[in-house]
Amino acid sequence: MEFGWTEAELAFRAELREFIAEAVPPEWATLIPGEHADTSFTRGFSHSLAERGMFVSHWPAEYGGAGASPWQFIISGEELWAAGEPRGSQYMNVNWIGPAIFSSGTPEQKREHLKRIATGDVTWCQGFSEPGAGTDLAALNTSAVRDGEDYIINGEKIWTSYAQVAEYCFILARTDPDSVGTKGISIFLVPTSTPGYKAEVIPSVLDIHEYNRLTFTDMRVPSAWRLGPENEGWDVIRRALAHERIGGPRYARAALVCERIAAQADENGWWQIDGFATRLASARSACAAARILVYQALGDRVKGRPDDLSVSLSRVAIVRCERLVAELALDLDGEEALVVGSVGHGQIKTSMIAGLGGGSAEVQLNQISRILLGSAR
Amino acid sequence: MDFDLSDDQAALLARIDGVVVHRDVEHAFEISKNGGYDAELDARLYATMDPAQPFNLLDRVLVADRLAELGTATTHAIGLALGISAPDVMISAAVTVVGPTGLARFGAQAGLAVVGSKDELRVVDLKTAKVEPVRTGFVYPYARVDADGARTVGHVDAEVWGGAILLVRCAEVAGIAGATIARTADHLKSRVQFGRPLATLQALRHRLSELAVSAEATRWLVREAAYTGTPRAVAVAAQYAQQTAAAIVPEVVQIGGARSFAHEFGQHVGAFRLEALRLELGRPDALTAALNAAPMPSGAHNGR
Repeated sequence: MEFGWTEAELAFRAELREFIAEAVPPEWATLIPGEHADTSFTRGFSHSLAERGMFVSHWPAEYGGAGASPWQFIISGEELWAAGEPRGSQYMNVNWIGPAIFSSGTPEQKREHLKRIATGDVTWCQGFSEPGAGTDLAALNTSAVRDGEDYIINGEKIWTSYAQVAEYCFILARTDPDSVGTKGISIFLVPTSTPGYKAEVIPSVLDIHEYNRLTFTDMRVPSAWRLGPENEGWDVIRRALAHERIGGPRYARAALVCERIAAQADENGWWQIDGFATRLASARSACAAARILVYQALGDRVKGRPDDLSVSLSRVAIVRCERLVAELALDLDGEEALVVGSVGHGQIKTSMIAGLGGGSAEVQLNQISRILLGSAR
Repeated sequence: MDFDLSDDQAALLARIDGVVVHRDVEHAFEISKNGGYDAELDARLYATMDPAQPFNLLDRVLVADRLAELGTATTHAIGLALGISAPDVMISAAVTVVGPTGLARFGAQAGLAVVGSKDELRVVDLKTAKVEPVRTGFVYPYARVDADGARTVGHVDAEVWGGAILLVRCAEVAGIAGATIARTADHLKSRVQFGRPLATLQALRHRLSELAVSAEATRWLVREAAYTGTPRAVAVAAQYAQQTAAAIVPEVVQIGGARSFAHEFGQHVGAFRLEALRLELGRPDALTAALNAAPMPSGAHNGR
């Protein structure tokens, strides 16, 4: 057991931090991660990271990475999330879409997708939630029916980020019409230009990218676009969701906001406010708690062990710290928190996302309790 | 970064487990339920793991966590904390620490005690001090110690020792928290009300899960702090551990129902010990101030 970084990991963090300071405009520090999800800047930044070998360095070399320490995944996540996530939507490709493809894809799929993902050259979206299957994702009804060498996909997806600009969609569909729950689900890697694919904006109040409603109407896709075996997509999804739940190290940004609040407290005399010091200390330790639990989850992953419990513990801790920091920032900013660009305004909105993005916090509590107490039935 | 026990750490904990199991875990817990002191087990622990040996702080908190989780009534964890900075003091007897008001856990049973303030910490022979057991319901025996005029047998470095004892207490919080959550889980699985086990009620399941998040985070923050030794990490671990103890107690008492009040079920042990440790950690405002004043380590990021 040891809690230090290797020289290579420290050097990687230092180099990345230096590059961020040089390449990311200062105003990004006040953005909500995801506020600029897919722009020429985020594309250019991702390309630059890739050129420096820092975009997917933890990926295996054969897929465009450097086979570097898997801990570089979280180091880059922390540094970039704290900087407002200048990769934009590309973080999702790096965190789990690419790994899902190199873990379960055919040689053709790897050739087609991985190089573009590894160079930050393509935008993806995920077709997961449906009007009737949100928190209970396994209740999804989108169907993919075999028709010779193709499938015909029909259904509706909702709350899809980046769909307006994505070139590909990572779609879950039920390929066994008689199945229920996690059985009988398959994954498809579908170009958004495919006839029958339609994306409509759902206006968002969160000041980040818009959400979308996707409709698939008799969308014909070749079986070669299916990722992994038919009807067995849930295992891939489970791993992907585990990446998604801790892939955005929200605690890193929340911790940074704590330090900004502390600096503002020095300037504004907030240390005299009743309860301020206690709340700040609690927020700081909550961020540290989320960080160490995420590291523990990664430790499980690095060792190839199941990480269901550790990921769920981490996610709950992440949500807690985001909320604590948001409440503190909001209270201190007072009326100024009403203004876009204030610390409180940004933090309250990002904390609202924290409990729902990547699956609701209650699902994580269910998962923890299943391990502690067994099934609820 | 490696969250697995090293071979040496695993062997160390196996030795501790072996001593407690040989003594009988249930018997050790029975003594704890009565607020007693397990002198025989304590002696065996000191004989097995001499605190004067060069164990690092992480080893020491791992042992403290395990002994607390096993529900023992021993001073060995405190002895371990002392061992790191008092090589001149041969700890052959049980050792304890005297709090700011003179109260000491195992004060009437220990042979040595650490007394004093930040400026000077002395190790005194308790046979030469005035020691008065106090009535307490907190499932550890406490005594009031007046060490004025007591024979000093050594000194310890306040800065190093202060961090070590703080982390050992935090590790005890983590160990007891884990055991208490497991015991509460067993209760929820076995207790049938409204025609079904309480463990099927989502309201209770989620509450226990929330506690598990706090307990697990406490455990790892303590271990990280023991490894890095930075003032910031120690302060974070202490503040978080205290909050964890404060959060767990009312919840496990409530979930345990009236059984929490009855001696026979043993559910009171974790709750009262967590409260005791929370108080031993010091005033919350002091821990808060320590955390807010602790500098971020050079080159650190994200609260580490």
